[in-house]
Amino acid sequence: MKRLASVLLMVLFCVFMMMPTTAMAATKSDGNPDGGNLNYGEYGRPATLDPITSNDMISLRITELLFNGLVGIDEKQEIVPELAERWEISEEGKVYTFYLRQDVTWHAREGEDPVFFTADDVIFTYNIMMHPNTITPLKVRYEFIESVTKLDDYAVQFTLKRPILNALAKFSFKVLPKHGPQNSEFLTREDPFVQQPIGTGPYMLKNITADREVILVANENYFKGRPHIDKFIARPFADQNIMGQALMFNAIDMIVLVNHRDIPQIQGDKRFVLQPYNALSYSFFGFNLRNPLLADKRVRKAFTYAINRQEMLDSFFQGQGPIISGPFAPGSWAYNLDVQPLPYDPQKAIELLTEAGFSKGDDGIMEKDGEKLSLTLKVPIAKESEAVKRVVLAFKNYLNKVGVDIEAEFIEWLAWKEDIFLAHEFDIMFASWVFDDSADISSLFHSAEVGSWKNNFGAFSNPEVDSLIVESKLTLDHEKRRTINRKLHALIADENPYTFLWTLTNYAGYNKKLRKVAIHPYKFFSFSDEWFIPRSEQR
Amino acid sequence: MRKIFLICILILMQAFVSYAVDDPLKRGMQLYKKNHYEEAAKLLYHHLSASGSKQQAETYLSLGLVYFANAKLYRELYHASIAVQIDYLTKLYAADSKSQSRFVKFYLGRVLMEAGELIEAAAFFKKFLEDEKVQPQYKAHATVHMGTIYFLQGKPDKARNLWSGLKVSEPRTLTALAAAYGRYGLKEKNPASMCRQALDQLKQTGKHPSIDSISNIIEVYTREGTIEQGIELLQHADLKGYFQEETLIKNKVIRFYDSALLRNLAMLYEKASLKYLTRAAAVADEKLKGLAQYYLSLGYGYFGRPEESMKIIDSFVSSARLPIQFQNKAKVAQAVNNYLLGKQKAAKAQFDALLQLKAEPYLVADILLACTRYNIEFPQAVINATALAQKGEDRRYYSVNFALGRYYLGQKDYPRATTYMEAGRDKSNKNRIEFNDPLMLVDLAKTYHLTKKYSESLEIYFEMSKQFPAVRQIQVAMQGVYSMEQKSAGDVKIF
Repeated sequence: MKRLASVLLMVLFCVFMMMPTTAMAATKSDGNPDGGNLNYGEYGRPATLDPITSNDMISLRITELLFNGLVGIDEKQEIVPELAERWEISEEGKVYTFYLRQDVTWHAREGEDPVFFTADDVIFTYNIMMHPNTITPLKVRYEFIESVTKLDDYAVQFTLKRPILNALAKFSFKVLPKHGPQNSEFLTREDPFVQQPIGTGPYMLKNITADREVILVANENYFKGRPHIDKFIARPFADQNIMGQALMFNAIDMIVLVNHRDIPQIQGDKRFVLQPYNALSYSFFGFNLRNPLLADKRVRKAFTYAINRQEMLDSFFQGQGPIISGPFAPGSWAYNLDVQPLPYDPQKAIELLTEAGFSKGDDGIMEKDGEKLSLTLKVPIAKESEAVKRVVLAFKNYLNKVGVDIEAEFIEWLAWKEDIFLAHEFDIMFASWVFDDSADISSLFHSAEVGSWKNNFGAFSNPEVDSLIVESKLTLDHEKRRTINRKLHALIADENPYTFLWTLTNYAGYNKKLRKVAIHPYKFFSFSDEWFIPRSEQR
Repeated sequence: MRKIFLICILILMQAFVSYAVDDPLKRGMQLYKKNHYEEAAKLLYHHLSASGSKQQAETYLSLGLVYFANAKLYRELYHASIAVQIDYLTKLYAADSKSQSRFVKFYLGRVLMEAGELIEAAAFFKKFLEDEKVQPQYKAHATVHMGTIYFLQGKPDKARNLWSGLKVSEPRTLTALAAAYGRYGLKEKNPASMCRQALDQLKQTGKHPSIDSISNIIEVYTREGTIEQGIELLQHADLKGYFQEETLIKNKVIRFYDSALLRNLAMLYEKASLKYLTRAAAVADEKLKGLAQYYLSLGYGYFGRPEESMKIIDSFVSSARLPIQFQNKAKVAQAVNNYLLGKQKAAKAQFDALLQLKAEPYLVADILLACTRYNIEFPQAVINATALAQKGEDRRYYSVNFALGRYYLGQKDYPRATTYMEAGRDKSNKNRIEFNDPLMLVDLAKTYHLTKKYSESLEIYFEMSKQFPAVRQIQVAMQGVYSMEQKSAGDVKIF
């Protein structure tokens, strides 16, 4: 009997040990205080708040607060556990087994009990991401996965089609709750979840105000310990000049991307810190190659020769950054240092247009077969700073000098995205890309990435580029990948699907009351659960 | 430091006021003021032969200043390059690849030798020499370096035997051997005539000297004191050129560079600086002569010749005619000289006395930079600099922020090093050398390399390479490290 009792006790103990522990409201043990709000200025409102359908930086920053991946990347560029507490990689590098944390709960919806995160959520996320009807730029990045299997509630196994470079880092994709989206098979922008998401992250969505402010509150049950700051409020500013003033007058505490004009003022003010954080971005004019006039490489190149990029950079951005020659930023490992930007040469532009069959009409506008070289340029209103307006005007004037008529249109951010990525109704667009460290341009220039909400919005297609992109993905050799990227840089520079412009200085500016601020160079808020505000400065 | 230079420039500008706006001398100093040392040096050097006797003296002084700044910069770039090259080549060597590079062993041996890791360097050269597929001319080249290692290990006879057994006619190896003979002052061969032989050979075949030949020849010319020949050689050299390109398979090409180029450039500019300052100090014009002597004393001190510096510097320390900043700077240099000459107590007393003066950022920064450079324990300089730096981030405090950044970089406290240097950086023009001291930018780039913020580091070098093309070797190696180290998901977003 005594023996039976002890066996029963042991069984009970084991069962207890195997049960997921209910998440407790844990505070961090770093000794820093909780409390206070952080208002940060954004240059627009997010299109969606989920990590799958979004493709812009505003959404990315918010999803970083709301969600977690299986793994994360810390400040020292090391891969660290997140939702997976450990992992095993098979010898040949094809099988990745993740053992999941058992103390993670999803943000609770009002009136609902917290639901535990399990392997089902991981499988659900992968399946929904790869579903043909899900519109996401992520798909192309996860084609290397052959299958995913649930080993038990807290273990999943991914089998890859082939070993790839840097595979583990790719499992940093954000995991969605199985009980989240209305449609459990695929995710579209119509699903209510994309506007009312729940995640496992340090902050939970509270509400979106009538002014389109996104209010996030601390997740008391966050598995890394409750984040210190009570509330994050993302405030959209259509006008970047006003955002700078809002910081100066303490209406906001942080600007994620400081307007270049405001840098000297903020640097000179002891109340604020300026912190550089991302060098891997560039601005460009992108061409829609569906327009037969722009399908001719000579025409696109003529546009690049026609504009004086250095003069624009010097005049409108005080020369803050270099002119670039191709599809990577100069801070990237993939930038081909041998490729020089095309010089300003309007005569060469005219020669190229003539060679392409254009001649000047009576009104001074170039025409070919009776069709005028009159094009629309669409610019998102979120970019409507004084400097960008000047860039657009200068672009129009430069092209006018070589006989090209440009009609510029400033459009609200979401409407602009629909025109560019969905309807493809544009001739030329102005925007910027921001890259993480990978320098992966496959979604931008591979011909398979032409389509609704895909990043190859201009329908650029070049078999050699396609082939190099594929070869780059297949190789396990870093130096080979570098060589391929150098070639891609040279090829795309020559094809000129964009007029590549410049990389500008990216600074975040924030009030010194925010402490222990470490900024992820790409995702921005990755370490924000550690940030805090001293009690004396909480208001 | 910078402030002092600017005062000097103002004095020089005043001296040149009688010349036309497009006067090369004036333009040269304007370029110098923008930290465009290479351009300034080229312009002034060409101006030397064209200018009259008065302008010649001023050109000597200007050239001396430009080369002084350039020498200091290349010395820093050389150290930065060694760290990045070792990082890159070690990773490249360790990478498991079916198409393994052969030359990685050679270049790893080279850079480890530069870093003073002789046993490791020798091991790599040995592996390279044992490789049956390596062509004889490359083996001969590696043998030259093996000899250098023997020399550095205190086995000159072994080195001599190795070198004397080499039958070398190929220009690259010939110049490498010439540089080695010159470096150790061996008399059995004439390094300069070996270089001439290599250059003649290339001329006959209509080829330009490779960048490694240029690097070696510069070393020979510099050691022999034929500075102008070295400078002439550089006029048409492509300093961003690679030393070796290795095509392994389709779409796998590796380019190798050698840090020794930066070392040799630093050495050439150092000698050029002292030479032109000496010439300027010999002129009759008292004002120019004084200025030249002043900088000559600083130059001697900076380049590790304290006795020569001391001979001149005393007169400046107490000169009532000198602006106070100049005097203080001379006092710092004097204290450093004392320290290097073994008078540590006197040196520290001088530093103490200087810190009792009005706390000027430039002065405190100068003391801290000097102490950091020579590993002089002097905590009070750190305390005073920290107190000043807390006053703000504006330009006035730039120098203390830089000095503290360099101090903490030396202490391997990278977060603090970054914080101070970022505070001193002109954020509106964060990578531009026209607005930031290139020495500070190199230190910041080093810190970002060590903290794996490669893109920040690469951005700095990208901008710097426009003026200093030899920086390419750091860029390419850092890109290599970055590509291997980066851990990311392949994400890209629009904004």
